[in-house]
Amino acid sequence: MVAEKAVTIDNKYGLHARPAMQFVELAGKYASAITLTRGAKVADAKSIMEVLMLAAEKGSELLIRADGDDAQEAVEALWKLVASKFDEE
Amino acid sequence: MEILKGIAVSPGVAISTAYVLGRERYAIPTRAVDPADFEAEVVRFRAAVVKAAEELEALKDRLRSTLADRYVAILDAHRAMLTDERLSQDVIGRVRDERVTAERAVVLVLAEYARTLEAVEDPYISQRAGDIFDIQQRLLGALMGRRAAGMSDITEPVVIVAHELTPTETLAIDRARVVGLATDGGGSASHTSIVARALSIPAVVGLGRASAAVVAGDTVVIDGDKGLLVVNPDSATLERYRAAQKPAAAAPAGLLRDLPAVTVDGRAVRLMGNIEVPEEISSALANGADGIGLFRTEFLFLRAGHEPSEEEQFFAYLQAARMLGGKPLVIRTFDLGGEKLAVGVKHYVERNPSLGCRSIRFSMENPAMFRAQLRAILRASAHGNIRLLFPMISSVEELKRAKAFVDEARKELAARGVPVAEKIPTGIMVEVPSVAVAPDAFAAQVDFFSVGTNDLIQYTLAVERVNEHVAWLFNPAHPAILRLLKNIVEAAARARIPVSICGEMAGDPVFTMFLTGVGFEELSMTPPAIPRVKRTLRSISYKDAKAAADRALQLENAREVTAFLMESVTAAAKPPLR
Repeated sequence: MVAEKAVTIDNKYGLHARPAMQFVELAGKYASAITLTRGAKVADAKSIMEVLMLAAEKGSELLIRADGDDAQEAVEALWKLVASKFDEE
Repeated sequence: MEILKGIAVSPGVAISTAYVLGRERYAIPTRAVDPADFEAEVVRFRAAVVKAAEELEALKDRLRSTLADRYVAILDAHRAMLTDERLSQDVIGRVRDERVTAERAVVLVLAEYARTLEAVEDPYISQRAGDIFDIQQRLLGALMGRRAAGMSDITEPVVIVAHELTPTETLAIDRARVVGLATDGGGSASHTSIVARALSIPAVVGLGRASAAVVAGDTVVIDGDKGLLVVNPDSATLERYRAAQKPAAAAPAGLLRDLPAVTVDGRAVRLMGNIEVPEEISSALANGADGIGLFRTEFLFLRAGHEPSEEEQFFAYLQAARMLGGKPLVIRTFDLGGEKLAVGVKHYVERNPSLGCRSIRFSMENPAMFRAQLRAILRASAHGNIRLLFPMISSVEELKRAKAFVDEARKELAARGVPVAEKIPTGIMVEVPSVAVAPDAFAAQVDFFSVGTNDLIQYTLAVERVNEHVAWLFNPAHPAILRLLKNIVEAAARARIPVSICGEMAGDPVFTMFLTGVGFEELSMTPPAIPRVKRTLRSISYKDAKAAADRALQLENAREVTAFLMESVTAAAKPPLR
C-alpha cells in the first residue's frame, strides 16, 4: 500500500537538527519504506543526514510518501508532527 | 605584507610568531590507500563511529544536570548524524573509489554536506553547517586517536590566530606563552575578548579570514589599539611597531602610579579600573587605579561553567573587596543575554537580541538567580566599600522594580541574621538613550550614574559594532554622543550625584580632554589604559579642557571632532609634572 501527503515546513528555524531528529525517530517506528521529497531531492525519512541535506527552511514544500502495510498511519503521524511545528513555538 | 582590519578589543601591541588554530584542527593523512588495505580502513572507520558516539553519550550524561533539555536534544541529534548509515556509506565509498584514508574521506564527505547547507540563503539553515563541522571534528578525533591541535601544544611565546576559540580554550590561555590573540569571529563581548582584557593580552577579533590568511610561523603584529592584524610586516612597519611598544615598556609605571591624577591646574579626576575577575585587581592597583569602577560579574558564569551559587559569588565579591582595602568597588549585576555567553542559563531565541531580554531585564526574568546575586553582594557589603550598579535600565518603573528586589534581599538576610552594610550606594548604567535624553527622573532615584558608552553608542547610532558591514559607523566622537554625555553630566550635577564613565571611550587618551572638560570626575577603564590616560590628564589644564569640550560640542561630524580633540591634546599639553 502506498500513501502520500504534502506538507509545508512552518517552524521558524526550518528542518534543523532537533526537528529532523524527531522526524527520523518517528519514521523509524513504522515498517513502511518512507521518503521525504523536496523538488528533485529525495531523502530516506529514516536517515537524519538525508533529511538534513534537504536543507528545508521555513516555507519549503515537502512530500511525505510511504510504501508498506502501515503506510497510511505513518504518513498521518509524520504529517501531524510537521504541521504542529515540532512543538517548537 | 598584508593588513587585516577587525575589532580592537584589548589594547596594546604584540609582535610574535603566529600559531594558527584554523577550522581544520587535524593534520589529515593524504597517502593513497592500497586496495588490499581497504577492509582494514573500513574497520577503522566503523570503530571510530562507535567511539565517537560513546563520547557524545558520555558528554550528554555530564551535561544533563547543567544544560536545558533542548541543548541535550542537540547532542542526541549529533549522535544520530554520526551513526547514520548514509554517512558511513558515503565515507566508505570514497575510501574505495578514491583510495583515500578514512580521515580524508570524512573530511571530503562532510565538507560536501556542509556546502549543501551553506548554499541555502536562510541563515537558520546555513548555520547548521556548524553541526556538520562538529561531527567532522569528533570523527577525526576518534579516528586519529588523539586530541586536536590546541593551546597545550604551545611551548614558546606566540600570537594565536584562530578561527574561533572555545570557552575551554580561552580559559586555558597561559599569559607567559600567549602574547597576542586574533580571531576570525567574535565581538567585543565574546569570551575571547573578555579573557584577553582580563589578562591584558592585546587582541583583535572579527577579522573574518585571519586563520586562512596567516600561515603558522608567519611574523604577525597585533595592533590592539587600532584593531589591525599585520601579516609579515615590512621592515619599516615592524620598526614602527617596535618603537610603539617601547614607550609603554620604558615608562616608569611605578613613578607615575604614585603621582595624583590631576590636571596642571589642580582638577582631580579619579581613575578607576574595569575588571572581570578579582585577580585583576592587583594589576589595576599596580597601574594606579583609585578603585574598581566596574566589576563585570558575568565572567563568574564563564569561569564556573554554570550559574555561580550565592556562596561562590559572595567569596568572589569578598575577595575583591579585601584586595582593595577601603577603595571603592562598583559591582554590576549580571549583564547576560544578548550576545553574551552564559553557560547553563536558559536563553531565548530572539530576532533582535540587543533589544531583547538581556541584562537587567534578563535578571528580573530569572528572579531566583537575581536574588542570589543581590544577597551575595549585600553580604559582601558588610566587609568593604561596595556599590551596586544595575545595567541597561531603560525606564523608571524598571529601576523601581530592581530596587524592590534589593529591599527584598536585604529583608531576607536580616531575617537570617546576616550582617549587611547599613547603606549600599546604588546606581545605574546610563547606556540606553531613553535615560541619556531624560536623566533627571532617574537621577532622583539613585546614588550615582555610570555611563556605559559602548551600548549608548550602539543604541544611539543604531550601529551594531560587531557587524562588519556597519562597524565603520560606530564612533564615540559622533556629535550626538558628545551632547548626550553633556546632558547626563548636567543632570547628575543638578541632582548632586556623582557621575562616572566606564565605556572604552574613558580609556582612550584622545577623549580625556573632552570628558574632563565636560565635567566627568571619574573615568573607569581597562587597567592597562590607566597610565596613559593619567599621563594625558597630568599634561592638560582643566581650563583648556573646558574650552575644548565647548568647542567640540559645536562641530559638525565625528571626523572633525576626532581631529580637533587630537590636536587639542597635543597643543594644550604643558610639560607634565614629574
